[in-house]
Amino acid sequence: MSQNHNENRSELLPIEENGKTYWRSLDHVAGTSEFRDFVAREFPEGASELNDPVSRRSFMSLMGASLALAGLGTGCVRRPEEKILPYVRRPEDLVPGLPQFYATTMAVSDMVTGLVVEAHEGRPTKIEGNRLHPASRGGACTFEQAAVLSLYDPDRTVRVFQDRVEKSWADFDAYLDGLLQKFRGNGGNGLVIVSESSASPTFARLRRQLTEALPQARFFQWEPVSNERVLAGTRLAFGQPLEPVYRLERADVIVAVDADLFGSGPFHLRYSRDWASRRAPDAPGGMNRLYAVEPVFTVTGASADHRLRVRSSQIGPFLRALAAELQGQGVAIPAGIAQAGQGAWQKFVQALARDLAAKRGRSLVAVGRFQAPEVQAIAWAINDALGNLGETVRFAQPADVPAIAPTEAIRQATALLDGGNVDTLVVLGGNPVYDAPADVPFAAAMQKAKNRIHLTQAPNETSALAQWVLPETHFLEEWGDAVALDGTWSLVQPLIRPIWDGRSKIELLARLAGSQQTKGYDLVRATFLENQGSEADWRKALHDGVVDGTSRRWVEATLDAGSAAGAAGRLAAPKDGLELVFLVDNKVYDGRFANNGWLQELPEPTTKLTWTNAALMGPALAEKLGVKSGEMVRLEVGGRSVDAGVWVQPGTADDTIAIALGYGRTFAGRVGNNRGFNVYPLRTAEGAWTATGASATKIAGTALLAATQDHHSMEGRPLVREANLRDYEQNPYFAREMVQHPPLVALWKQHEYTGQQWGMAIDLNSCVGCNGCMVACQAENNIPIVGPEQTRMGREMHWIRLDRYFASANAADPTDLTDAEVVFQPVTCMQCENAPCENVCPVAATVHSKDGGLNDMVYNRCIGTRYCSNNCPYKVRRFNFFDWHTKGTGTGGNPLTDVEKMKFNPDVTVRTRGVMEKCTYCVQRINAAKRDAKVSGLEKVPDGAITPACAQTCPTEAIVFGDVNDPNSRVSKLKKQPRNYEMLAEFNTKPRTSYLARIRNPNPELVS
Amino acid sequence: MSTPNTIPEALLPTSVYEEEQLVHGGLNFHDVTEVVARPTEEKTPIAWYVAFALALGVLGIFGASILYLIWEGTGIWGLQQPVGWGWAIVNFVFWVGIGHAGTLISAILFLFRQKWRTSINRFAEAMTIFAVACALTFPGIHVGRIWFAYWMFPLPNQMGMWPNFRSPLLWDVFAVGTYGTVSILFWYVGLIPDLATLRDRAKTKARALIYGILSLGWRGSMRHWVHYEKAYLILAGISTPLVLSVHTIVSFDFAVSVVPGWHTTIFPPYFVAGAIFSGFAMVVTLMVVARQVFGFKDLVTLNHLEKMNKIILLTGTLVGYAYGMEFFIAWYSGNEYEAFAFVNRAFGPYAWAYWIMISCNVISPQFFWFKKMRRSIPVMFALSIFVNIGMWFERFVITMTLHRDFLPSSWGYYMPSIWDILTFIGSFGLFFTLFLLFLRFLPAIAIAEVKGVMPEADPHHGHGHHGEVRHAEHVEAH
Repeated sequence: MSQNHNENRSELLPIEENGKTYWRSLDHVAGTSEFRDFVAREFPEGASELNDPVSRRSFMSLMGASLALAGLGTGCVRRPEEKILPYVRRPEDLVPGLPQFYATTMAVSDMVTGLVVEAHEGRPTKIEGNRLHPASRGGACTFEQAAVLSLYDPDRTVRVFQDRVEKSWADFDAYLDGLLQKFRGNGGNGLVIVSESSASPTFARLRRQLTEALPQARFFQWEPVSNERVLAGTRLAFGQPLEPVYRLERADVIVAVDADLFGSGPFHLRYSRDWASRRAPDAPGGMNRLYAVEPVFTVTGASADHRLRVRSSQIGPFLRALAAELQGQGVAIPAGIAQAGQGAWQKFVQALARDLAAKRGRSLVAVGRFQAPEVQAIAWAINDALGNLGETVRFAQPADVPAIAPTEAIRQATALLDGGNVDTLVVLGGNPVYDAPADVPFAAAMQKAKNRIHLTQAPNETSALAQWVLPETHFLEEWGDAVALDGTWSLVQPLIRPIWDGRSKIELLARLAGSQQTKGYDLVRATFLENQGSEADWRKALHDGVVDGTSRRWVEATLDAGSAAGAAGRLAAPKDGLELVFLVDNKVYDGRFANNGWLQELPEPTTKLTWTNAALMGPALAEKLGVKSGEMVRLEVGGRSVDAGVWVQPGTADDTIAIALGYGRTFAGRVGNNRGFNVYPLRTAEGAWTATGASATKIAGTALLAATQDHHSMEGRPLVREANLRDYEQNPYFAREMVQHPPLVALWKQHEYTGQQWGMAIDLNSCVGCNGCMVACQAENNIPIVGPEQTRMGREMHWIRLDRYFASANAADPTDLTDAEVVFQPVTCMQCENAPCENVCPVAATVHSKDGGLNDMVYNRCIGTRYCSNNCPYKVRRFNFFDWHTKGTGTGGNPLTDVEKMKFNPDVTVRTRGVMEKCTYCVQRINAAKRDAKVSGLEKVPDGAITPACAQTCPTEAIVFGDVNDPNSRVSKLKKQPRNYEMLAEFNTKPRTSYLARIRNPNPELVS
Repeated sequence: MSTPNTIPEALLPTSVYEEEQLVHGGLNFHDVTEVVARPTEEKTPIAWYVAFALALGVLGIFGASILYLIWEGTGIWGLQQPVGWGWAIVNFVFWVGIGHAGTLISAILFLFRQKWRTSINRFAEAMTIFAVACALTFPGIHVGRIWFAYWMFPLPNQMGMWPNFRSPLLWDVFAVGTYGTVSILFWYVGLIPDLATLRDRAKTKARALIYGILSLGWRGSMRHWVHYEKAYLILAGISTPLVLSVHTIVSFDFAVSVVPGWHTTIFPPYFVAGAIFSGFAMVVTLMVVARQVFGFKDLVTLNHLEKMNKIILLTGTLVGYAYGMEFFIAWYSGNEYEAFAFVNRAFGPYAWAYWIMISCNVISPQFFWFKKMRRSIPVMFALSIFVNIGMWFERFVITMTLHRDFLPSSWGYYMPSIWDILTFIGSFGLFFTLFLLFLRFLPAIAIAEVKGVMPEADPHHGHGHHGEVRHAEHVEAH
């Protein structure tokens, strides 16, 4: 619905005025061959030179610029030239200064999430979840929220390039027509298409169309992180590939077996929310209990009531042992599945089995997508025996699943290419050169194709080997559609016209398929009208973002006990020795978000590492290898080796090294190049998630790992307060009684707080530590990134952070972190009524607002003594030591280009160097709501009308904001709960943000 | 003449006895003038040029560091979260502390009639002013937006904004500002008779003119002396509370905060003692060199130096007591954050700094219990340097308390950058440049005041009996 208006506004886009075009115009002046090279290069921003500040090329470009500045007579002083164009005819609904919101959808491989995007004068600035979408319910994860930064990434593919020379789409179309003519003649023989996976029905339709038009053409879909093992597992267990969808709100006992339910994968936001709905001690149906069995900490394991460290290869035996115990409890596990286990976990397994047996039909054993299909099948047999199928898990028929699983697809594609008979290779998105399995030599094979075409949002390792590099649209620029895990159909609609004249995958695919329609809008609409209804439905779907009632029909799955037992029997006996576990990164995913500064600077939830991955290992293994955090280790599997930095991570399984994928990119762009360690060279098709028989040796060198938190113990301080459910029931006020202090009196007369006064309550019980709030805040409040070096110095700028503390699970030795418990605590400005920061500022730059009672930061008044920060007990203040927007790694030290500036939220000041900043409770949103209330003639802002960015995006609604003077507001009610406590209240700071203590619901059998 | 007093010398207080020997070498009034004035009149020695060039070079580093700081931002320093104050504030407190000796010697010792102060007070006051100049640079440049640093002053402005009078930093502005102003006035008033002496001895027109202007028409008449003595006494009276107030208020920068390890009531007396401690150590360091180079040995005698060493011993022990008391209170208060802060100081990541501080400030002055040590030039020179180092580290240890406060999640470790170090070294360039100029162009010892405590100045000098009786008369005169 926003298309017309975007087209009207595209003339105002400052593309033609930005640094790039400016340089290009110097061509006429400088006219040197070097300069022409520079202009026409594939990576025109000098991505490869960034690490070398005085390369010849950048010197030449600087020379060219100075020459031009002198010759063009622009004078000594350059003032920004701003043209303000009034609308001749104002688009409907557009009031300059007021944001507009459009529904759209983002798909990160198979994670499909409905979104609502805020746009200011045609610029998308903030991405939020769509309440109507089942995967979101209002929440959005880090990837989705940070996507807005990728939209304005200056390292994107900005033009059509052929052999690194700038061309146009017209040139490419002529070229393609030539090719297609040939392929139409021979039925597509010699045409290979390798695409990213897609959840789009239009894409699937066009793929079928292509196969019909060119039956000889081969189409492969490759994705390094996929659900192929889940589908294979259900095929083993039920005889058909099925998509399991959990219903955690119905489960009393949840066992996450190497499954990061809350951290990644489709529906993780929804699962967090459903789990959290049963997390309050007084939740209807009682509090659920979460067990996690995993090799390395995930946010799910951190949120669990019980966590068992199990090596990845031992997960199968663990499940078989569990099955054996369940049999003992009278659960009818089919024959051949159970196998009595031995070992340290027996006590855990017994207690778990009793718990599960008591909750038949109300329990769930969920296995993650990283485990072998055989292991998945065992779990399905257990779930079936417990009567959970249809109750806590439902199955959906996956739509449009390619016949060949991704791993097999890339293998076949590589074999075809290697055969030398491929004429034309078209790579639609993705980066197979970087992320193909180590034993599949895609990069070498790719170069045997005669014509190589890559459609990509940003040039990457694969583009470097392609002849034609085509700009692909970002999802905020394109039309599309997507189907969520449960079948819900949603639409992708553009918020802005393609900034760099890109085309979407479906548009290119339509051309290849010889479709009459080639416009994304027409293609998507045609698919919709064909499948989902009328023009009116289309308009409603555009408005809502989702199509009502489209969730798939659920499939009744019947266990094939024989097949499952056979699978269990095939499970290889686990080998001893070191094993390597590959992780999907919480920040860069499979590497695709490597050039996104917000995500790079985000601390990984459990390690708190930024800008890098690391070889995670437990304290015992580190001692055995003689390494410490920050030292280097050489990892070897099957004759391949990779060097990586070490990070000692409590709670990692014995003899396990876990390392995240997606780092060590070499063609990611200025932000993402050479961050961390690329472990794809160790990842084979077979050992995609777990590689056994690995070895690790200490090598010389230091890894400069940037962590935002260096100290992991709470030092016995009452910061995060928690209790077991039983203790809580005996004394609900335990949290308030944990600190005894004399009556708090003030020296002078206190402020009077009348009218609406804002406050916040954060429920530590439902916070899973997913980082969603951090990116939401970064996007909403124009928070800069500072880069790895500055992060290592402790200068990161996040206004809200997630403190993570480890506690030893070993009561005898609190320093033993082999087994650890984790707590998360979101910390942001507490908006103290008695703010210690305020009275120490010599220039009154931080003061209290009477209206709302906020601790305001007056940027214009601040001179930067940093005294307020020293005196803040919560250390939530952040200082602009440099002009981060130009000095932060995001720009490589250059001033922001106009395109990058488009990311800013115009409602929030962009802070200059030398001033302090901190959380404002999103005061811009408060003021907007107050204004709206006033316009509507309301005396007060209604409860719920104001939602700070962090609270808005929180998938578990752990953060609640509102008027603390209104006894009926949600926040007031939460603050009245017995679990409510204020951190460091004994210092009489009177914080407005309070916490609800965390309650664990452990199995009484396992509580010693 | 009354009955001769026959109190034996042994019974007289030492100070009274020693007053007679404040100037050694049998110098008379003229000799004193010669000794002090000659260094300002002779041809400039090569050594001075060498030293001055060196000092200017270091001052250049200071200037360059500050310019780079203004250009790039405070990020060039090692500052971070949670340590928002680093070497700049350490250096500020360090220099202000050094500046304490001057006022103490000029004002408090003057009011207490400690005549031995006369040989060193000019020197110490000059040191004070230069140290305060160095100190004042730091709070000015350490702010994020240096170009708005003047907002700390209560100037009328179009925003109608006053500074925040509840902030200890604002109190600092007034305290250090007042201290600097009064110190300069005090110093200058004391200089007037001596400037007139230089004017009278001037061989060139330029010298006569400049010193003539600076000496404000001083002719040495009785009326001038009466006014001068009164003004001097009043300024001494004004300065005396300042000795206590400046460092008290500087200590408020820390004590008024909520930071564990800062929020302690012992800070004001402890800071004042520490400041006098470091100030005296600096005077000894500089004096030992200056009396050697400029031949002031007869005016600044070992007796003077020994007295200063005694004060160093006293204040060093006071500081040691404060360190101990901090620990006691941290434990006694029962506040876990406070207790942690102190244990962390002694055994945490900055333990190395803490033990340097203890060794230099508490242990090293204890050598001054021995008279031999107190009177040994090499020993006192070495110890005074140790004290200077120790006192810098004391401020470092206090400031670094920030690195671990309430929430362990925010703990960090501060490392200075090269620019922190260069700025600190550079501040010595400013100090020594000013000091060398002072030694070259102004009388480094108060000529008139020294003369005033010589036997010749006694109205009864040369009229009465000689020998032991003279001491007694002198006592009576007071």
